[in-house]
Amino acid sequence: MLEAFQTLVGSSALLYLLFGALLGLFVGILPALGGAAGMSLLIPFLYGMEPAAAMAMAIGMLATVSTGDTISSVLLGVPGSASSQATVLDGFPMAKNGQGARALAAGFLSSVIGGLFGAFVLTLTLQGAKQVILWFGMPEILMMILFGVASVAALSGKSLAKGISICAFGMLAASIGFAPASGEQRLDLGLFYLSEGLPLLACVIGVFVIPEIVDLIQQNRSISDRPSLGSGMRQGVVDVLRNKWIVFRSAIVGCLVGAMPGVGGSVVDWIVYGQTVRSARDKSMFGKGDVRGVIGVESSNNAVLGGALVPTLLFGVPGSGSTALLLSALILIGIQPGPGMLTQDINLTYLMIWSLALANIIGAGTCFLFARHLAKLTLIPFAWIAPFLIVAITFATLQINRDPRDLFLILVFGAIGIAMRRFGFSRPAFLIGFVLQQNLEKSLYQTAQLYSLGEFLFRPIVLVLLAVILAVLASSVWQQLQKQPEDREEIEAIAKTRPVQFILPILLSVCFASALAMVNDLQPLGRLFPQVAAGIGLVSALILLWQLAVGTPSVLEDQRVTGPRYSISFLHTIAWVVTAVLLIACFGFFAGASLFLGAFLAFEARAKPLAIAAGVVGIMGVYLFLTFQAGTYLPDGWVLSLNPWDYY
Amino acid sequence: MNFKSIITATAIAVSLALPAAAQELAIGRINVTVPFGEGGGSDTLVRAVAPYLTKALENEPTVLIRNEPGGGGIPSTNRFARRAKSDGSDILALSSSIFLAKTLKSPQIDFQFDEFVPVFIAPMAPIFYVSPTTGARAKGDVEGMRGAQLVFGGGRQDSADIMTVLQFDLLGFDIKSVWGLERGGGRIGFERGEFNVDHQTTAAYVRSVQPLVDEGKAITFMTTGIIDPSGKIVRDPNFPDVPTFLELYQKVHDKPLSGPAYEAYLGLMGATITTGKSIVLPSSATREVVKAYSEAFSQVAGDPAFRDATKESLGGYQLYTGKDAQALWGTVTDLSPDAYAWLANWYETKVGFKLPR
Repeated sequence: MLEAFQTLVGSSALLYLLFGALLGLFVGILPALGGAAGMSLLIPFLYGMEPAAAMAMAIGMLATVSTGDTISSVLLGVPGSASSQATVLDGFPMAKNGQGARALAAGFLSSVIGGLFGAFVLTLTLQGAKQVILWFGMPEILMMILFGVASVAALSGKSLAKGISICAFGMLAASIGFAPASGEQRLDLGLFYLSEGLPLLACVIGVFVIPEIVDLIQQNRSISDRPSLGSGMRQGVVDVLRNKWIVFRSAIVGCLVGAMPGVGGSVVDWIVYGQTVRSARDKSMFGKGDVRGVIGVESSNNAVLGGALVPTLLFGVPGSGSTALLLSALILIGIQPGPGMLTQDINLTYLMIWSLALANIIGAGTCFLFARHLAKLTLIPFAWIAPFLIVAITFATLQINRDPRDLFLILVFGAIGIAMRRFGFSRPAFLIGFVLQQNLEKSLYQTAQLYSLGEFLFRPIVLVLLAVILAVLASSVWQQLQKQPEDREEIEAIAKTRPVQFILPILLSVCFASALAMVNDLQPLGRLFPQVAAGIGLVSALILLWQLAVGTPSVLEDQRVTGPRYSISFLHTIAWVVTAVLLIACFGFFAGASLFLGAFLAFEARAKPLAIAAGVVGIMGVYLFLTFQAGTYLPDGWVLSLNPWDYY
Repeated sequence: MNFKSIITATAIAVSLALPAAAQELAIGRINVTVPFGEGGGSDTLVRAVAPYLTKALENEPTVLIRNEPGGGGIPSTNRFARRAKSDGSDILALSSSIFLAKTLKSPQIDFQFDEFVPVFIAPMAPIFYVSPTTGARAKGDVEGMRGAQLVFGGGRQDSADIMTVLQFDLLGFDIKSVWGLERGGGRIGFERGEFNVDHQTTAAYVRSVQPLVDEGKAITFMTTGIIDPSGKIVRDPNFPDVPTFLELYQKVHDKPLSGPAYEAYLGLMGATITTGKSIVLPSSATREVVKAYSEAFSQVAGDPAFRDATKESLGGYQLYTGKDAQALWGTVTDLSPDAYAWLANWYETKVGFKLPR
């Protein structure tokens, strides 16, 4: 173990670690880019590197993403990566109340504690992990996934029917494509484009990021309304120390969820947030700026990596999207993950643990030191930030499949996301459905094939998990029923826009009904899962419609009425997003994005020509550099190809 | 490649406007299309080959790797078949999944095998192992396993994993297959006792299965063997003392596998193993281009440093170039209608999977 530390500190590996950690911070701060995007940027460089240096760099990058993403979540209200979505809920309101520094300090400190805890757990579990993972057979994994699904109840917001129907919609969307049990194509509308299913990242960008960007542009807040960093760094540190139990507990959950194959970091923050809210005595401040919300989430999302590395290293089974890429990176540099990581490669394994620990310290340290400078991000007018965000998400989208059609997919899911945000449908519930669908369906089918019901119910871990799930469900439903009725005036105001509130539930019902019709001629194994999901979705959507019709207060929700006033019209804003997508699809990323940036900055930010040129050239330079460095390319435009290099 | 050499390579790429002093090939840059994302098997191979290929060609062209993921690699391969230049500036990395999709008549494929000329082929064969709970005591112990209910966890029905089910079924075993697993997941399931049959490639076998075999928790059972350029199936050179499936078949049934079943087996084997990882030119490439590449790749394959660097990822098999590669390529053909009908019927009755008719 010490030998590994000496290797790390005494060689160039430390420099690579530092570089990786800084890249991770950068990727984390950039909205919409997360660990997976960072890994895909790094992988091309790893080939042929010293394994120690390559691993130090990769782990360094992955470890700091969830430290850096705190900054954009708190100061911009836009999650820096998928794992800090829940940080926005309390972090952003805190920043608006002038407590940005407090939220950041609390976030950084819990990040580093969570990360170190993850490294510690990884060290411990490596000793006995083999046995533990062998205990977790298919039935146990199935129960873990169901545990994740059960958290939808807590995330549903005011209306359980909304949460369930949108979660079912997520599951249905994710079941498009190849049916694992029967090998059939389903719900693909006969399009080859859909035969591999919808790309997760594009859907996440659509549902989570586009609505936020549109909202930012619409609000068009002037600089003076924008949260400044404020003070209270010290207070943030005190908060963490005061809530050490939350830090500790969230880190444990982070490790556990991280170690569950296929679930990964994009859900853990919501699970932990739900848990933090559930266990708090005074819940009144959550969502309005309760520091405990930030502490719990940030501690867990840094701990995830430690947990996720356990199955990745020991069994070659990745726990998340970014560790799946890490796995390919390992193989790329000639290391076969498996039990051998505990024998022949034990030094490298320890080196990775040291890297994990060090990178967390470097990441949080950098953030603490430079928080004031990084906070200046918020002084940039939104008219300047928004176009760069739009370009960043199109770039991230094009990186997935190098397919311009994915850009239109983010528009479609963006529209759905905007409706979800406005009418109180839980977007995390959608994501949980979407992310867990594949694993849920597979493990249901595999468990049913290999175990009888009797065998299933006589496994002790299954029984424990079953009890936990039932307890969680019962408590969330009970809390749902306990909700205080809202004030009358607000309800009446919201009720006025009731006609538009019908739109989404009606669309959902149509989706569910047509899905039921479409899967009907598949084999039983291929259609069972979408049938159940669509069936549950249809029932809850119909209940929702009925509740809307009779005017049940809990389903009435419209952010337009209750939320902030907008100074820029919705259509105007959407037109810009559509323009960006069209330009990039037609002329390729570089030309299209430059045109869009120039136009946006000229018309919306009223920037001077020189400033526009500097902005366009600067950011395009960064992207050109990145793509050249990575040796990747971006797809040609449909109309005219203005890519800087051509291949055919 | 480290940072420095990538930056150098990038600098070269940027300064490509300069005319290259063409000697063997009149190109300054080779574009390698990888129809998959970064980090997969094909990508790994290409990135391993790239620096050696540059050295082996006289004017040392820059190698740029273009990953085109999506659609199981099929759209990208289609595009390459349609648009690749014949001057040697475009080459393609192919993988077994694309061959298999072609053999299984995926409707999306609109190229033929003869639209490509192979310049480099790295075969990749699996080794099969079973749990002692099946009753097997030694390599190829079919008798000991008689009557056992075999359970296998595979990835997709239309992937190379089908070979396990097909072979054990042809040996007369009742084999149940469960789908939707990663390869590593299948092995963990095996260790947990959920599956009692599994396969891995050489590298993964040596790493993760050999310890199980040593502890007596797994029994090495058989290999598929590999096809040599003359078209003969021989024992896997990595496991010369392990019998091949065809040997066991003959032992069990007292006659060799024959007829449409044999043809279908051979077709699947060619697609999934023989040509597992290949680098190809479009067939429009001129003879000089094919010759230059063949020589360059022979040099790469013969380079001990290259063999050493790829021992793990390619499993240390013989690498084929030039005439040998082209002869091997000839063993991969579309199935005859009879064989395809047999296979489609087998798929439907044994796996419940419909092949396109």
